[in-house]
This record gives sequence, structure tokens and C-alpha cells, in this order.
Amino acid sequence: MGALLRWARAPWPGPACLCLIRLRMIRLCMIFPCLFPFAASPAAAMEGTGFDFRGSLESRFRVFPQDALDPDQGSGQHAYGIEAELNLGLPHGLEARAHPRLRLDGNRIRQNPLVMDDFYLGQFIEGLQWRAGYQVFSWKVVESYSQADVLNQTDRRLDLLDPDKLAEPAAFLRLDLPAWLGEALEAYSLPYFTPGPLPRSESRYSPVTGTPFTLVSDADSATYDSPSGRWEPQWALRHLWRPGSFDVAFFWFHGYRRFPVFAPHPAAPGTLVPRYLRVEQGGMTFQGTLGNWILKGEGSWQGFTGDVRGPTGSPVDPYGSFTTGFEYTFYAPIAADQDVVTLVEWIGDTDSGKDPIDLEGFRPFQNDLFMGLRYVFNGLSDATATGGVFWDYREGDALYKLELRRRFFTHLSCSAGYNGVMLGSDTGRFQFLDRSSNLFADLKAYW
Amino acid sequence: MLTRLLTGILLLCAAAQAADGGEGRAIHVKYDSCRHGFGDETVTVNMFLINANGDTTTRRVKTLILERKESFDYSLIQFMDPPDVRGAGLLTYQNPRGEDQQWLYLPELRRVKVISSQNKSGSFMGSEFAYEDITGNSLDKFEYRKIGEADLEGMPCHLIEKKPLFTSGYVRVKEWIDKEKCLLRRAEMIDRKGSLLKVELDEDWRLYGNTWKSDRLTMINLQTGKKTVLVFSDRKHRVGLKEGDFTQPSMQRVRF
Repeated sequence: MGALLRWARAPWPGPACLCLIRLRMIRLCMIFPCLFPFAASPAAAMEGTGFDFRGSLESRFRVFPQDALDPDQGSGQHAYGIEAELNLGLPHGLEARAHPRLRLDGNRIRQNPLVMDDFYLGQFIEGLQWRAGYQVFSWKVVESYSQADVLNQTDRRLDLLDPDKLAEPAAFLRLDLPAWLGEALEAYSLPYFTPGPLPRSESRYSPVTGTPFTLVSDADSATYDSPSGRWEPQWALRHLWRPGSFDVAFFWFHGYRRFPVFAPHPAAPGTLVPRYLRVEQGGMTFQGTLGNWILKGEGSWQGFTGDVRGPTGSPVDPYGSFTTGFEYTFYAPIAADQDVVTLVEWIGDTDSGKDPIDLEGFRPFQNDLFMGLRYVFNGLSDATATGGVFWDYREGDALYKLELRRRFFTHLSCSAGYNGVMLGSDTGRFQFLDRSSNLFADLKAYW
Repeated sequence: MLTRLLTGILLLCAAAQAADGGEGRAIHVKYDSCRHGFGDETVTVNMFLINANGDTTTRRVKTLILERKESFDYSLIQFMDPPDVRGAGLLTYQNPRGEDQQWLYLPELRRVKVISSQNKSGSFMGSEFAYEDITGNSLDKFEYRKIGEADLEGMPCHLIEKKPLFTSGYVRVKEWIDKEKCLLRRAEMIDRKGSLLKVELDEDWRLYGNTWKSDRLTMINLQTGKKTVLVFSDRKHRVGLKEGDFTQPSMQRVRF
């Protein structure tokens, strides 16, 4: 029971840490409004005032048709959730937002009694925006695997490839720049690191499935490369500009990489614990249009602070990684109210082809193509049929997803589909996902 | 040979333009000036989508518009209903002489996505209105010709034919603009096959300050039998919107 409670709290710091975070946040919240003038126009200031509430009730089901590799891994998962979004707009561009989420997991894999996706105070005025509190950010511009979306921790207990993001305690400031300097400059301060929840033994996949190791995925047992532990100050800067019809952003991040490596436990042979590496990461993103084509890409360079070695003891050098591709929409190719969106993205890194044992840890996509197709029915139900596949052109592995989604009766949305895994060899990187193919159905009611 | 051909084409174009002595364009300039000059605007739009069987679904958006020099206007459409797309936003930087720039905000993913504005004939929110019906009405994007006069429900009207100068879902649009107030009352859209595709009815014109606005637009698709009605409410002008209200981060703000 104690372990369960710790798991339930895993994405969140303990009470003492919370007090410190709150204290820092309160200071930030007090300082920011004093630093900047209020909105100039009273009419515009009042335009954004009011209270908005919305919520949803959700159920998720998954069925695994194949026998599991591990007897602890069940053949089905079901979860129920309720969430609310509360937005308060105040005069002078001030705004407060809370987005609590309650999730009950039938298999207790992801039992999160209460998670706060957003909980912040902010202000939006001419030329400037700031927010302080728990926040979810997105730097992603591609559709498949992002190299740039590095700020938020993710919950990988159910999904490795498309995990839910978890809010980070952060202060965010955006300054609009004069045209000759670009578009805007954004600064992020992240005072506290949240270790990411990792698959439990009941999860249908695990990084140690099929190996002789045991993973201690308890957040308290994680180790950190900095003596400051979770309190290592982390920060990021992003510069945005818009040449022509393209949005371009350059970023720099200093802090812990969100996905850990798994290191041997010093006192327990055969046991692995998550270790969080300190990184310096810089890169750029772009997205823009060229006629009907949408071009997009993300590139990143990542270097480690300190001595990082692979399992064979060889040092791991800094490396670059990228995802780039295009999107093209065929309007009404078959029927007047139906469109087809096609998508191709190439994912790779500069260590492509190296033996994984010489890398610092698991890197999911090093030489892959992502191909997607979305068929959109522009009718009353906004129905879509989507198919996407990650294809490793070296190993022959393929991970794919087929999904149908539509709305019923205005307030009900339903999606159903299949997540498939096809392994090209017995030694591929995705071996641990073997037999995790599943049928899924999600039902969500909004109000 | 090529020079002669080009000269011939240019002469034909000039002849077509001069056929009505520029009257068609002049009427449109007047119509345009009736609708503009409001500075900035916020308005709530209820959209009723009616299929051929008469089944109706409702959508609601809030629209912010900022008028800028030479019609390089900004607009932000924020979706309020149905609830599963609530908070999504469409930001448009209009370019009267080229391609508009558009971004879509997806609240579930917190992502701002660039979208192509090239294909203006795509459906707007699943309705019978195409993007070009909503955002593509800049004066310089069409060639105008007055083709006659006609009465519409007892109202004397100019009949104008306009031809898009961009890639459009229509080859031409026939418009009824009333002589008294110079406001658009009806438009018929002819598709690329030369068939009558849609009929637009602009009703409930009201004067807001010095600006005329239609508070009820109906688009009927004659080929599918579907219909969309837009009803505008809570329209306000000169609320103090600035360019900063039309940025990518501003799409993430909840409008009340």
C-alpha cells in the first residue's frame, strides 16, 4: 500500500518540497506584476475578463490479444478520468488557470488520485507575457517524434511513444522584440525537477522485459548527476522569428534530460535504477508553408555535463538529432466534403548505425521514417480516420497506429483503433514492446 | 509570335475591364467602404449546420478582427462549441496581394500549427462556407464587371460578376448589391464545372457606428442540399484591440 501511495505521488514532490516550490512561486508571482506596467487600454483590459469552466469525463479501454511476455502483465487495461478546466480572466490582462485531473486506473498501473495539469497565474499585456506556477509547454512542430519539446516530464507508464505530459513548476516570460531583432524572446526558469513515472511490472511493456534485470522505478530511488538533486536550477531560452511564411525558433536548455538512463544499483546486483543526466541542449525548429506544402523540422544538439559512458565503458560524445518532413493536403479528392492529409517525416541522429551498447541509453528513433495519412470528413461529426507508421529502415521494425474518431450528439467523442508492433528481428531496439499490440477504445463526454 | 499572343491577351483583358467602364469595381469599392472603418471588432458567431435531412448541429466561435493599413488585417477566430474543440483558435494575417498566413492552435496538445492558406476552397469548420467566403474577400483579389441590374424582392440591385484572381473553388461569383445602401444581398457561386454551386444570402444588415454589418449569413449548397446559417451577436467595435492580441500566444488565451 505504501508503495502504491508513493507511486500515486510519483510525479509530484513531497510536502516539504511543495512548500519550497510554493514559496518560490509566491515570490515570483509577487515580483512579476510589480515589474511590468498594466495594459494601456481599459476597454481592451476588460475584454478578457470573466470566468470559464469546462470539464470532461473519460473512459479508456485496451485489450492485448497476444499473451504477455511477463505473467504480471495483464491482457486488458481500463481507466476512468474526470477533469476540469477553470480559467479566470481579471482586469489588466491578469489570468489564472487551474486544470485538475482525477484518474482511476482499473489495473492500478497509473493510479493518480489527483494531478494538476495547469495551476498558474499570469499576465498578458502589450509586448509582454508572463506566467508562474505549474505549466505544460510545447515547442513541438513535427507530428511524429519531437527533438525540441524538452521542458516537460512525461508519464510513460502506459505509453512510450506518445506519453502524457506532466506539468512543471516554472516561471515563464515572453518579450515581443522589435522587428529587426526577431519576433520574441522567451525565458523559462524551472526550479525543481520531477522524475518521470516509469512502467510498473503490470504495465504491458518495460525497458527490462526479456532481460535478467529488475527495474526499481520508484521515483525516490532515482539518482541525479548534480549534487543538488531535484533542486538543480534549470533554465531555457527561446528566440522566435518569422522570415517570410516560416516560423523559426532557436532554443537552449540547461537541465536534466527528462528520459533517464538505467544504471546498476550500487547495493543490489541485477537491479537497475533510473539516473538523470544533466545536459546542455541547443537546437532549432521551423514550420512554414510553400504553397500547399507545409514544411517542418526540429534539430537538436545534446551534450552531457560530466562523464557519461555507455554500458561498455566507452565515453558518449555529444550528438545531434533531427526530425524533418512535410505535410500535404488533398482537398476533396473523392468527395466534396472530404480531405486527405498526407505526412512524411524522417527521424535520425548522428549516432545512427552505432551499436546501442556504445550509447548512453535507449534512443527510440535513430533511423526511422514516419508516414501518416488522415482522412477527414468535414461533416457534422468531424469524423477522421488516421493511420501512421514508424518504420526503422535499418532494423525493419515497424510501430503503427490505426484510429477512427468521431463526435456523437455534440458532447460525446469516441475513438477506437489498433496499436501494432511488428519486429523485424530478434535483436531490435523495440524488442521490449513485443506482444504489446493492442486494441483501444476511448470515450469522452464534455460539458 | 509570342509577343503578339501576349499583346492580344493583354488587349482582351483591358477590353473586358473597360467593358463596364470600371463601374463594377467602383460599386465594390463603395460596398467595401460601407463595411470597413470599424477599427477593431469582437463578435460571437453561432453557426447552424443543417444537412439535407434537416438535422441541425450548432457551433459557436468568437471572432476578433483588427483593421490595418491597406487591408493587411488580422483576425482571430476562437472556437467555443462543440466542447471537444473549445479553445482551438485560427489566426489569420490577411495579405490582400498574396498568400494569407494562418496558424491553428490545438489546446489539447498546446501546439500552434502553421496551416496552408493556399487552398481557400476548403470547408470552414465543416460548414458550407469555404475559407475564401470567410477571409478571402480582399478587393484586389478579384476582377469586377457590372453585368446588369435586377430587382431582388422588390429591391433594385446592381448585378456584379466577380472573378477570383487566385486559386479558387469558384470560376465566378454573381452578386446582387442594392442600389440604395450599396450592400450585398445575394451571391451565387459558380464552380469550376460551370454549375451553380452555392447561394449566399446576406440579411439583417445593421449600422454599427458608421459601419454596416450583416448579422445573418446563409449559405445553401445546391448540389448537396446542405445549408449553413451564421448568426452574429454581441458585436462590438473599437474595444481597444492591438496587434499584440493577434499573436500565437494570444491564441492560447481563453476569451470570455
